[in-house]
Formats: sequence, structure tokens, C-alpha cells
Amino acid sequence: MDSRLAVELAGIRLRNPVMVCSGTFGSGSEYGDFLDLESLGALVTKSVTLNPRAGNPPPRIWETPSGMLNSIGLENKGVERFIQEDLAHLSALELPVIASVAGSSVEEYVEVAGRLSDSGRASALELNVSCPNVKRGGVEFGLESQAACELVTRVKERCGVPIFVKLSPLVPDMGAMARLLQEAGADGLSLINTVPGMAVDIEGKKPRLGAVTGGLSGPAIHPIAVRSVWTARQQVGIPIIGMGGITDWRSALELIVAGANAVAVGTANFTDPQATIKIIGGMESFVQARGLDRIGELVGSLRV
Amino acid sequence: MPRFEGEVLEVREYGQGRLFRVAVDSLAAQPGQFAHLLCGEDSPRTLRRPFSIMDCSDGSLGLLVKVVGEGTAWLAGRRVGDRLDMLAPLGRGFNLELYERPLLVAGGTGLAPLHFLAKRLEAAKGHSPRLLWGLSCGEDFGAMPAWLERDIDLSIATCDGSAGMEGTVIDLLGSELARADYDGVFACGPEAMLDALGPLIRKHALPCQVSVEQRMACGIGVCFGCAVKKSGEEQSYLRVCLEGPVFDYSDLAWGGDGPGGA
Repeated sequence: MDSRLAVELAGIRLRNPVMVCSGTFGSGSEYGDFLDLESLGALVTKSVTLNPRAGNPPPRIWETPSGMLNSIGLENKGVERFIQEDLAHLSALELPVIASVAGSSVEEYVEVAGRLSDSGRASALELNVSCPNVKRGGVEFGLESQAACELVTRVKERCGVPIFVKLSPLVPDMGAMARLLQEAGADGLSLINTVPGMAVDIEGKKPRLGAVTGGLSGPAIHPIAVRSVWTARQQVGIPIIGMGGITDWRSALELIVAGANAVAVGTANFTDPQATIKIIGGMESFVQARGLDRIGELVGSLRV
Repeated sequence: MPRFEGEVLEVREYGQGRLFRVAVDSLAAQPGQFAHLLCGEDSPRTLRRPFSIMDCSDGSLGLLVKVVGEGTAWLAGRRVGDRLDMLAPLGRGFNLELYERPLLVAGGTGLAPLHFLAKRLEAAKGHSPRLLWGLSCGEDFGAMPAWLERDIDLSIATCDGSAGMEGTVIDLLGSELARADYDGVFACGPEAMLDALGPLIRKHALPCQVSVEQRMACGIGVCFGCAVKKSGEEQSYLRVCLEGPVFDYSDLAWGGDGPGGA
């Protein structure tokens, strides 16, 4: 692996800046049949909650022009089994693992994050704040800066590992939110989560998804991700992991030039299980062709 | 590694169906397993499309494709020499050992895994099990019924009586179960057909293995997108790609809008 691709995120050293998005790589080992997991920069696991969750009624996915809608509903086995069964296996790899945390209350996030941090098997945590806050009538944690900052403060008090916050592109003022989260102690930002969307069966007059609405991902949302990363980068110095619709090394580098320190590949894994490997190869060629000493020179190099 | 590019060796047209033979290297697929195909070249569809494997022998794989949307339309346009990007074999297939006297029931392209199963059972037992195949109104597989009648023990039901019995495959199943003694059913077809199977297999107290469809993303169990409803508990789901696509009939929640929810 070309050492010029190495990056550091909140003290975590990655052999390259290409990660996989939460929810698109399972518990991590499944894609081991298709690629060498240790060639990735880092792996982000599927969001876990305190107790197991059954998830949403089917259908859960629908293909759209240049993308897909999903409404999985956080189906997961709960944090304890996740630590025992999945993290135990992943932590044997030479690969930073970032565990994604979800919850319906501040207390749940703190508890789940604390157990993951205590396990010693996660290099960092990513807070999936696109979950309804039950005490606030179901408003997403990540859409209100006060709730999001309180969450970060409380989780930081409990945990000894870096905390990334994954934000929705619907955040009303992305720049202000990024700045406030940095002040609250967030170690980094993951931009962006899926974009809320919906599709309709006009014959049956029914929603295409069992949960009615879902999250749009895939190439269709890439420009939204680039804009979010760029907007946040104007306001903060903390690391940004750029994600949303990456399909190849060019779309990955767009996010880096706009301000991301690393990138994560999501939906493209479904289309091509080797997408990450091809993106890493493309980045190597680009860095070599441009005579760069390290890929970090490109971060936020956008000229406006 | 279960991903490969297979060259199209042959395309046979059967009405709305295309039967593809694709070259594979030493692939050991079981009846009921599926192949997950990339649709499109330079800018492929975001999601692969799952197809039950219709045959796997002599270094080639058989796939039955009927055009139902943009992905299958692209596939139907492939010609001999084109290459197909696929993940295969995926999923859990039929258990061939459970029944002594099985009856096979297919609807439309649900024929594919059951034809594969019939040939495997024939090889194991020395005679072809009976396969009932229903075509819905407007469904046309050209000369395929005539070819299959020479190949396996086949009975056909069509809604207009243009081939075989006039009626549904469920009608055909009812008369077949009244006529002969079976100890298990294998089934694959549209969800409404599989749902209608329930009263008959319960009446005759027959166990049944069923292969179901669902919209699918990863195909290998990571995304939890292809969930179907499990029977018994409220809000409990199984993944078609990993725990299926073949399930025990009684493990799925039938009735209402079906296990797939569509």
C-alpha cells in the first residue's frame, strides 16, 4: 500500500482514507469473501442500540434513479451480542473499527457508547444522531444543535475513544451545527447521512416502503454531500469523513478536495463489492500522477 | 470468491422468457440458490437483481429472465459473447432429503429453481418428480412448456386453457393432491400464489419448502434490506438472501399483505 495515502483522524492512523459507511458492510466480516478487509482505511459497523431491534416492516428498499431508498429501521442484535460476537472478531484484524451508536434517549446513547468504549475493541465511535428523541416528541437529535451538543458532551464524559457525529443533510445550518459540535467536544464529523425520501406505487396507491418514508442514498445524493462537507469545512478544523453517493475514486476525491479528511463508501458496496479496493487503487494512481507527497495535501484544497 | 464475470454461451427465446446459459468455473450451486446480477455496464443500476439458478452443470449456469423492469430489460438484451457480472451461488437452497414423494409447484419464472430441483431429484431417485407449473393470464413462455413436457414429469395450468388445464396452478394442485399420495411440497412463484397454497397444504397436512422473492440490495446478509415477515411473533423478520430464499412455509407470516409486505 502506498504510504502517501495514509491519513490520521483524531489520533487514529489509517493506511488510506477509504472507509465503509455504517449499515452497508454488516458487522464487517461478510465482505471478507470479496476483498482483503485489512486493505481498507477503516470500517464503520452497523448502528447498534442497547437492546435488540426487529427493524421496520418490509418492503425495506426501493431502487430510484441513481440511488436507492431504504428503511431498515435499525434492525440489530443489541450492543452486548454485538461486542461479544462481532467486535471480538473484528478487533483481531489490523484495521481501525469505528462502531456506530444509535438510541432513542441520551441515556441510551451514553450507555451503548460507554459499553463499546469499555470493550476496548472500538478505535472510535460514530453517533448516528438521525434517530427520534423520544423525550422531545420524536425530533431527531441531530436536527437541533442543543440536543446534539448535549449528547456529545454526555457521551464524551463517559467514553475514552474519539467521537464522530454523523449528520443529516437536513441540518438547517450545517456550518453553525459543525462549529457548535466542535465546541461541544466532538472529535470529528461524518457527512452525510441519507436524505429523507419516499416513492409511491401509483397503481396500488401505496408507499413503496413498508415504513412509508426512507433514506435516499447512492450517486443521486453525492452533490448534497459535497456541499455539506464544504460548508462544514469553512467553520471547523476537526476531521470530516465525507460520504454520500461515492461510486469511484473521482467522486471520493471531490469530497476530499471539498474538505473531507477521509471518505466512506456505502451503497456502492452493494453494486460492486470491490468498489472500495478500486477507489483506493484510483487514489494511488492520482497521487502518483500528480507527484503529491501525501493525499492530505488535497484536503480542503478547493479554490473558490 | 463468489463473484465472477461469466460469458453468455447461449440465449434461447421462449415467449416473454429468455433462457441464458452462462459460463462458470467449477461452481457448485444447489437448487434454490440464486445469482445476483449487475444490470448495465458503464453506469449500472444501483441494485443487482437476484435470479434463482435454473441449472448448474457442465461448467455453465442457467438463468430464466422475464422482463419486468429496467434491470431485466437490460439483461434480456444480452447476446452470446457478452459478459455478466454476478455474485453466485448465494442463499440457502432446498433440502432434498426431507420428503420421499415430493410434489413441485411453480408459478411463472418460479419454474427456474424447481426445474433445477426436479433434475437433481431425478438424478438422485431415478425418476422425475411431478412438477405443476401455472402461467398467469398474458404470461407466455413460447415453446418452453412443450420442451419441458419432454424433459420432466410436467403438468401445466393456464388461465385460458391454451396449454394444459384451464385454471390456476392452485386448482391443479388441488386435483393432484386428491389424486395421488405426496409427503411434501416444494414451491416457488408470485406471493399471491404462494399465499393461496396455504389452505391446501394444511388440509393435506403436508410440509412445504417455499422459495420467496424480495427487493434486495447486498445479497449477502449485510444490509437487512430483503426482510420478510416471520410467523408467530409480531415484528420479527428473516433475510431472504441469507436465511432464505428457501424457507419452511410455516416460518413465514402469510395472509394480509404477505411476508414481503408489497
